[in-house]
Amino acid sequence: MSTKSNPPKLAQKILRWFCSEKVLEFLQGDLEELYHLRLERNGRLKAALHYFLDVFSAVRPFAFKQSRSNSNIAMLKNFYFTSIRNFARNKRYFLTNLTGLTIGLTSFVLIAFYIINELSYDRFHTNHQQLYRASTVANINGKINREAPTSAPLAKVMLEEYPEIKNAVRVVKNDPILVDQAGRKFIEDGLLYADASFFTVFDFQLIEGSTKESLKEARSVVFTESYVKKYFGSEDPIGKQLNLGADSTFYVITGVVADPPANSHIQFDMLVSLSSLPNVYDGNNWIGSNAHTYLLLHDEVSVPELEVKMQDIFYNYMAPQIEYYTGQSIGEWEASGNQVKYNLFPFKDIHLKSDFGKELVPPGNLSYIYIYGVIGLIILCIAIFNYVNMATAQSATRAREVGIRKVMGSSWSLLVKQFIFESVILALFAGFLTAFLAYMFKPSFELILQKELAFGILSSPWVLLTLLVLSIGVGILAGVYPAFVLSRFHPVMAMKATLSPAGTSGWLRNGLVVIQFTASIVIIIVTLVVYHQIDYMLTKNLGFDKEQVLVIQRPDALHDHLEVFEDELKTNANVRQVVHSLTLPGKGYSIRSYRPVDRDETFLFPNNQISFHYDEVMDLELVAGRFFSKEHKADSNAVVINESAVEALGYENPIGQKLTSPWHRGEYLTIIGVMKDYYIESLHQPIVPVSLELMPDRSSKYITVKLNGGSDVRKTLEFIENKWTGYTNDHPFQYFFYDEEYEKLYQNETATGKVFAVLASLSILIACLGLVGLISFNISTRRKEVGIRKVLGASVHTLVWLLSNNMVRTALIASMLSWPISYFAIDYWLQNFAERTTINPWSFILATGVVLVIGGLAISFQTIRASLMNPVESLRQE
Amino acid sequence: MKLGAFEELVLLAVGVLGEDAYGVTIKEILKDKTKKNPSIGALHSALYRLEEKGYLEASEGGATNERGGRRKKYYHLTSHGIKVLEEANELRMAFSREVPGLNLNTSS
Repeated sequence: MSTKSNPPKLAQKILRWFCSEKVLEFLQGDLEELYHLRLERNGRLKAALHYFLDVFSAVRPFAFKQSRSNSNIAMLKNFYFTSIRNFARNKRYFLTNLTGLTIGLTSFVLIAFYIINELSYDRFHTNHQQLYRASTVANINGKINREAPTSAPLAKVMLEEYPEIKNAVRVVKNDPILVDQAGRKFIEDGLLYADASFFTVFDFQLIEGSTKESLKEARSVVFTESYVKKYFGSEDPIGKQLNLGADSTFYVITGVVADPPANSHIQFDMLVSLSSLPNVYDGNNWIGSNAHTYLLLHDEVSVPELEVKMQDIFYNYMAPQIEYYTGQSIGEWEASGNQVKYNLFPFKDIHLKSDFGKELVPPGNLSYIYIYGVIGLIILCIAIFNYVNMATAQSATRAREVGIRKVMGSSWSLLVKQFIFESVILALFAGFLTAFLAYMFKPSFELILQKELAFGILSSPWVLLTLLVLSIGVGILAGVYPAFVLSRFHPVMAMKATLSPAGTSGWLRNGLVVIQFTASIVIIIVTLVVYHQIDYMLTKNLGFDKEQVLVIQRPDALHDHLEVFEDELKTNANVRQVVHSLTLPGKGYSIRSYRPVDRDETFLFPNNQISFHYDEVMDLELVAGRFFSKEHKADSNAVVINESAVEALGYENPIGQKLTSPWHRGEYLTIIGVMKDYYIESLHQPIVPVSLELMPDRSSKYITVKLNGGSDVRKTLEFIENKWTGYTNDHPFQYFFYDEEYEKLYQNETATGKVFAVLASLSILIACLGLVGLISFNISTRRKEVGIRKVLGASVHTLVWLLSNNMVRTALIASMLSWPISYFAIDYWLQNFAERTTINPWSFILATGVVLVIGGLAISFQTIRASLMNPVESLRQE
Repeated sequence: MKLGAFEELVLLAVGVLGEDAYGVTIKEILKDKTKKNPSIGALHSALYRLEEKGYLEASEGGATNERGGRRKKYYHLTSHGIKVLEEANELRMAFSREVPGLNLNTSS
């Protein structure tokens, strides 16, 4: 041996700690010999690691120190039975504590499931560290465009020209499509097109079919398990045929894949081979971006360097096409400030950190993880404080036991251990209940969150183990302070059963109550504001009307019958107006570029293509000019913009101004009208410039039907569906009510509101349990005082005040503390919105009032009972 | 007579090793023969159990540098241990003979 190397000290210490003398020498000798063997074979790290494992493998009865462990076990047994007896004697005390801790732990565990779910997104792929998503960040005419999908040919070029790339897969998400399987027709929006390498790069579990072949041939389809059930029940789906959309050639099912886990940002119900879309698969269009491109890099590839190297692709492939479309040389194009850069985004961070548009699944929000995490910890702390208060409050009942133990020679440290052990036992009971409750309430929690969670109590033994450790930890934390208080009782005083409250410091207990109430008030205030904001967003005047609006999806199924269908609907008295459009507010707009004829400047506006009367259905307000009209033939080359667009263009007098746009091939577009500003996204986004143009063809995605208020909606729906079925040859009729659909944009907020409401009530419940505990402690120490005061003529009224003024003071301090804290919390959360509700002082007052009233009710019972008590009862004890 | 499967293997290993049977060598030979790697803790636990049952006896000695100067605990089969092994083997053979189609003539 060249260098002297010894086994890890810590492991040796552990070994010496539990191992008896008799065994130690030979065991340690063997371990050390093995360590040196491994040092030569496997190197230092592995040898050290194995040494640790060996030490732990020896934690068995044969090795334990005999004498000590016996007395230890006897002691633990005694502790255990004392605890259980104490629980049995004070059932109310036991139950309130158990309830508090269980509620706290259950809330904490459920929130932890949510957080783990968010943090574990996409980590189940073995390759997740080496996976990157390639996107382009384009800066065009001063507007930075970050979109997740990139041009389809990129993946192929990367694979061919860059040795850093091990593998690549493209995923394409198109519009919902009609699936027709032997007459079973459904419109599916969970359909993804994917390269054959999909199952090699990712770890989605293929149940039937071949990893390499299933998505290779054109028109191959892989179903998820739940979709096999939906379409085929228990039949074997392999080889079955189906039709997709307008494609008249059959698609064949070549495989079955397990449903993607909830914590995957790639979600699908069926996969179709990308080779079924030849113009994407082999396409050479570098301008469009429609393929989410995932690259598997070799180990030790420097990503920043690769990003720089990828710039060559831009000059070799994309630049010529830009030159072709813009008519500028790439040098000129770049000189005017335009730029396209490649970006490699870490796959595992997409869910929480992506700021790219058009992600496959809307990304999560990191700030919600913090918010939920903090709330979870707060609830757990409230529960722990609660135990501390209850345990100290009940200390009088244990004083005699402490006295006797001390007289019998128990040491102070042993008493501390005993009481900590007792709280650990209680926490373990709570942990046990938590396992059940977390299992039972997970589905309701998922329902509130509107989100499936990949983790549950039973997902892995580690979860239960962690819960066990957590419970023990909580037990120790909760038990420390009461243990110190109880163990400090002077034996003589304790035996005399006259407790001096001065001996136990009140400030800590009061401080804990202050914290509990501060936290409760903060949670209630935040809940109120969350609801305020949701209400504000749902009722705010968006600039258009979403009530009484029915939207029919996929009007392309009508083909040539679109106008006829619309005209027929209008014959119904309950239908006020019918229009069609490419998109709707909240459904995503595409960008069009405009150029004023008199200036060399380009403007990019989100654009919607619509039919006549769109303004009536959406109730848009016209500020100047007119809307599109059938009488004006030239309106196919007209545009209506909003006030923000006018401002952006800088026109004093917008009506009649002429613009050009590449979509109109050199023809002039005349501005014929200006609308008042309205929101085209949720209120998370500010108001932006918008342009409206007439739809030149039948490529609309939505038919929007404005109903008359107060009409029989069910009957009207039936009427519309009848017409639809008649004109579309049994195409499924899919519709939604616009206001309901729009609310979905605020799903995160609604979920948060509900979670907060539940947590707020739980926190105040636990806090009240603690409060009752504290007040009963106060009363128990002042019984004689109350009795004497009563004898001397104090009224019930003054006595109640005497007993509760301390509490009132505590509550006032709590509200004072809670207001600034809530203000900052609210302010942080409201940063998520472009349009914020004003912070209403009434929320603060209301929340504080609620807590004070509930707290007051909780203590009044105790104080009034104490004040009404016959003084003889309390005074005759001595 | 109680003898677990692992205990039986340990007894056999001690028998094979003769004069040189202690923790490390027993572990190595078990790994070699069974292709499974028993943890040292499990092994020591079994050795102490077997010693208690009287199938093994131990002697101490042979401190080396690699062991940090600590002695080894050498194990030997007792006559009781040998008897127990024989009984276990006999029981198994007799039992196996009653299983139709089980080939018992595998050499090696």
